[in-house]
Amino acid sequence: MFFLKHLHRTIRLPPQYFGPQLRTAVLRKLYEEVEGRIDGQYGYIISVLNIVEVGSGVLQPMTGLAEFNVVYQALVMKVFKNMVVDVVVTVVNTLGFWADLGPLTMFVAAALLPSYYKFDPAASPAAYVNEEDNGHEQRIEKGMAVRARIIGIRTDATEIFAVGTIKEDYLGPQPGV
Amino acid sequence: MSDNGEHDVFPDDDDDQVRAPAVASSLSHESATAATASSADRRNGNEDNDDQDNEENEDDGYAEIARDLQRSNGEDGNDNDNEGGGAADDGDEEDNEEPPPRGGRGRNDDDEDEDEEDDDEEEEEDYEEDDDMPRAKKRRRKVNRFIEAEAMVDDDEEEEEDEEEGFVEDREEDFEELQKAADTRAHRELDSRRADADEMDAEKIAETMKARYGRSEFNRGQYRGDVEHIPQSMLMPSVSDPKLWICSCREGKEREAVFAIMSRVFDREGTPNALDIYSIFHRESLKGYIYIEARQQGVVQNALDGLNNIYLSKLRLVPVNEMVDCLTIKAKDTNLDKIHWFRAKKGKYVGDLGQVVQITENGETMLCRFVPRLEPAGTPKVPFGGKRKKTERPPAKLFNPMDYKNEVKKEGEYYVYNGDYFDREGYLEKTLKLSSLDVTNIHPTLEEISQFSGGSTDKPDLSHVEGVGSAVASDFQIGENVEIISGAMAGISGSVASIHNDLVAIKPHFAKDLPPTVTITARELRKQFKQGDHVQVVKGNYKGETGLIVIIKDNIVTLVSDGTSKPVEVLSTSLRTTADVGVVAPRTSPYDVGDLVFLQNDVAVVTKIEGEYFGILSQFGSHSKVKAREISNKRDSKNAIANDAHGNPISAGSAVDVLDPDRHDVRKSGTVAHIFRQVAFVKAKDTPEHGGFIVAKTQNCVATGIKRPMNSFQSTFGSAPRGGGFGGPPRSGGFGGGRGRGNFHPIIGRTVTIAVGAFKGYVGIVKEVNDGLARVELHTASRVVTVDVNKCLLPGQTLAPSASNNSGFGGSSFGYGDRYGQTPMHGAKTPMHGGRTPMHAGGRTPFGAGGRTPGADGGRTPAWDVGGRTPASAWDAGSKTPGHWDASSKTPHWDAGGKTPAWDSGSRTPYVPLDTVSSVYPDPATAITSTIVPSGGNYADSIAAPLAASTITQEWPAIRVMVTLISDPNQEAIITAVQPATRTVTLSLLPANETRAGVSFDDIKAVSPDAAHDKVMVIIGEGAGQTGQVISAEDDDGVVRMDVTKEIRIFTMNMIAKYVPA
Repeated sequence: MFFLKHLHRTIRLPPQYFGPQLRTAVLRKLYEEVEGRIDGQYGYIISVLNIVEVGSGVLQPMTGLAEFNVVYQALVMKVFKNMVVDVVVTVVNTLGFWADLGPLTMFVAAALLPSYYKFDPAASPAAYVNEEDNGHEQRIEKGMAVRARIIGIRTDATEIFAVGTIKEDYLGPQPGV
Repeated sequence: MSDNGEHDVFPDDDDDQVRAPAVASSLSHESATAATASSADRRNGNEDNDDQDNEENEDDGYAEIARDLQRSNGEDGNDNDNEGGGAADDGDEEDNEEPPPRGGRGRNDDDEDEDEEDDDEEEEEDYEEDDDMPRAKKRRRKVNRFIEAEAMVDDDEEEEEDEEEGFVEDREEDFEELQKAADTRAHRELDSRRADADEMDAEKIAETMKARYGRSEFNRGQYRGDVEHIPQSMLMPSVSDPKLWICSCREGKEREAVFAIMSRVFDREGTPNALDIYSIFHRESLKGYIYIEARQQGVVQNALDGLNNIYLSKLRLVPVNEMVDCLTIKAKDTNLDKIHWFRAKKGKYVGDLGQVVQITENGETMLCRFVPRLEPAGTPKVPFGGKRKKTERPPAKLFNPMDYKNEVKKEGEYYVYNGDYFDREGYLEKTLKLSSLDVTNIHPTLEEISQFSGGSTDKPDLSHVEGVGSAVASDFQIGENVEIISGAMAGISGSVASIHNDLVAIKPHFAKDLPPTVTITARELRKQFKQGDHVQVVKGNYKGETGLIVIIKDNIVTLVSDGTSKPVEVLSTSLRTTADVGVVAPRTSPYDVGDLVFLQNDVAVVTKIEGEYFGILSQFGSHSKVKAREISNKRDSKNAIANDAHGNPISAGSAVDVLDPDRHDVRKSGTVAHIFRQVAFVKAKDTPEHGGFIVAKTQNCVATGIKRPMNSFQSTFGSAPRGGGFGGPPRSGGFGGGRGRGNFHPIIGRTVTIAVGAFKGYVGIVKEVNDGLARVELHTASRVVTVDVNKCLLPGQTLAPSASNNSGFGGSSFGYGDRYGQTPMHGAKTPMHGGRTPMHAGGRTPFGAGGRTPGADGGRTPAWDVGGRTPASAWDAGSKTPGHWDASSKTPHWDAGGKTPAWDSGSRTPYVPLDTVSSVYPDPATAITSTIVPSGGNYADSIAAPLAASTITQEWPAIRVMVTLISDPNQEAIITAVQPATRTVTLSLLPANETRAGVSFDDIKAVSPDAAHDKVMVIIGEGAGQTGQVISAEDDDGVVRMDVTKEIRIFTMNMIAKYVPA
């Protein structure tokens, strides 16, 4: 889920930037520091959309760095357990499949696929195939859009990893997408 | 009744041998019994009633109330049975109030009790210990009763005796009278008490009850968990039951003594001296002791007095809480909970997981189950006394009697093979000494366990997993979510509130009708996780790994490891919820997954590392576990090259599809991790087993992306197996691991003639080869000289090959000269004798000029012959059967090549064959025809008769091969006879079976098989003349099962022809 959040961050700037471009330097540092990063509470900070306020710099006595409190508005993505998401399959093998959900990776174990999906090792690319569907078979293969529900999330410093399931009604490949 | 007896007895020890003869505790216990009896009398005697039933009901009622109250007090009320039963026993019940603190275990836990009673008891205890005659005790009790006018304890005992006693009729008569006297009083008491009870309000009742029963209730509370699921608890002996004495006797005479006592009892039955003995027995496991059950020691002494072989001085009372042990017959698997699994410490099964089936009574040996490791059927037996060759132990595999048909006997439920017993499921059953087994810290993996459940991990038999899966208290942490898996409360989940020894208090999540906490043994609990929980493995092979739970199936949890993204199956007991991302401890092992390792007699790839064990997949496809020290070294196989099914070179890193020899439609794609000789270890992406490694013969591999690791020369010219031996430096041979051979060089030990230099013409033995230099020990001068290895000539060899190699390809193309040159040279000898000049002339010159003149090639490397036969592209076809390569020196090709005179003509018309060939390919018939082309169209003319004879073997037409006529492609026919001399065949034309003789070889064309199950004959290449059946035919390739060898081989269509069996 995406959110617009007002966040703040303290930027420490070395003295070399003290000068006419100070504000730019602060903002550049802000972008560097927060965009694409994970915040334990808010999830992925995808983009800083708006700078609300750049506080006045305060010199740190010991280091000479200036601290700026920056309040900014950011687009964040946070996933929640039980959230239903659309993902793009990246890897398929006997264990299940991996999929990308924007910046995060999701794994759907074979056991969490509906039982009528059978792994077809001979297929190229490897795929899970729903054979029961007469006429047009449903396949889960690399590049497919799949709707899945998140059942577990692990947040690291640099990535979010989710485990999902498609073993429920209305989940699974989304052919039209 | 309940209390100590059963608590001790049951879950803890069954080692009666140790416990039974425990004297010290028995004494104190005895005195406790007596002592408390008196104090109990004081309190409760008024409950006695002449109407026993009535009284019992009454008491039950009280007990009921008391129990309810207890329950609301936070105790759990599970031992109603005991309570009820206890109350019914009235006086005896009271007796029991005290023993627990004395019984050893309960004592420590119960300070308040002790404070109160200590003084009293101590006094009495001392007193008691002085007189050990029970008789005296009893008397004193009676006196007490008189004085206090209270409990009819003994009376009650008598009552019981009445029912139980079989043969003892007489009693102490004064009891009757006493009872009567007490009866009226008891009536009155009871009445008044009832009145009181009616008046009292509930709270007061509660108080009273608490005061009366609370303490004993409290004592018991600690053991409630056990009590709850042992319904026999009521049957346990209490102090009110007859006591058990143990007496030493002469070893081996136990039985005799028992019978002697028995006859004495019968003798005296009905006499005034009758023996009041309930039972006598001895235990097989406890030599030198007999047990006597009686009420009084005096009786026992009487019974034993004067008997032979009895040491009366060693008569002791068995504490009431140990009585059960004395009579407990060890259940089959009494101990199995603790050592359900083990690993063998030595022998063939060292390191293997085994399962305990049964423990013999003496506890030293166990009947065990293993997954057998048998030599495959047909392995020659080592003759007795013969030196046993130490070989790699066979893979663990369930026994299948069908594999050893003639050598298996059936004995009841078992199969007997080679003196070993195998049960129906194929497990080996063996009786082993406990000392040869490792029973602690087993940590069996799920794979191992699944082997014991029929080999499928999908549905592990939980009965097998049980012993491993059951939790102990230390697995749990306060706050963890758990689920009760057995007992009356199964299915309830809650969080751990406290842990005490083996008991875990649980706060149920949905506490309707449940006390706030439930105490239960750890083994009845299972950790509860939810899909998606982030957990860490806290023990076992995967210790330290963290991951997200994907699947939960009973107590087996599959999680996706954070580190490797691989699924890991573990038991839920070894998991713990965590927020951290675990880092698997760095491995100190010198070997890593995917390493090519050399074992004593095997080559394998490491598929898994489990502590000190390595899972390896050997070149024969067997999977086993070894310790690090069993691995002699590891190699890389960067330079090893082998040929795939199509003759393309593959080496480590090549992408290949592996064909399953049994199921041609199954292909697994992967990357070659290692090549060892003709075996490729392929890391397949989608194979979960064995760490993703597959072993395959290289001829069952098909390179999917052509990787050209070598220089252009090799990839073009040397793409054939030849690449190894011929063109490349010797190390990069098709001979995998050639590098590792170090000093090994085929020329070592050979007698050679030095061809150039100061020692030209000298003969010597090659001692050592280093960097292309051979150290040759001269026969004559007895000294060692160093010469270029290419300048060493084997007998019969001339300098030509080496020289031409050098000139042609530059660099040290030693491989040719030393490896393959050797054999063909032998072969080449024959023609050489006859035609030495041509060899030099034909061979050398073109070589020198072009370096790759096929003629020269043909002359020298008989492979030419192969090329000539399957002219498609000489190199490709030649390498089609990479098998040859392996056997380089033995392969018939070389020989054939050596013998074939073709080279002669081939060298004359060096380019013709290729041209011809490429134009006619892939038409097999013409291709075949072109076999002859090297010698020009006029082969027959140019070749002398004797040579022709040798050519015949290479002519493809064979009897019963189906052909079509080139002149009339629709006319099918079967060859019925071949006249090689005239190069004609006799055909039986289909469908009319009309015979036509004298059809030229050039006019027939073999019919390629077009469908599966067609019978085919190999017409060219290795194995020509063999027949087989097509398993599948795809495009240009046919997969054929050979009739004779049952081998599965892949041929191009032009190598095989439809065959019509007679």
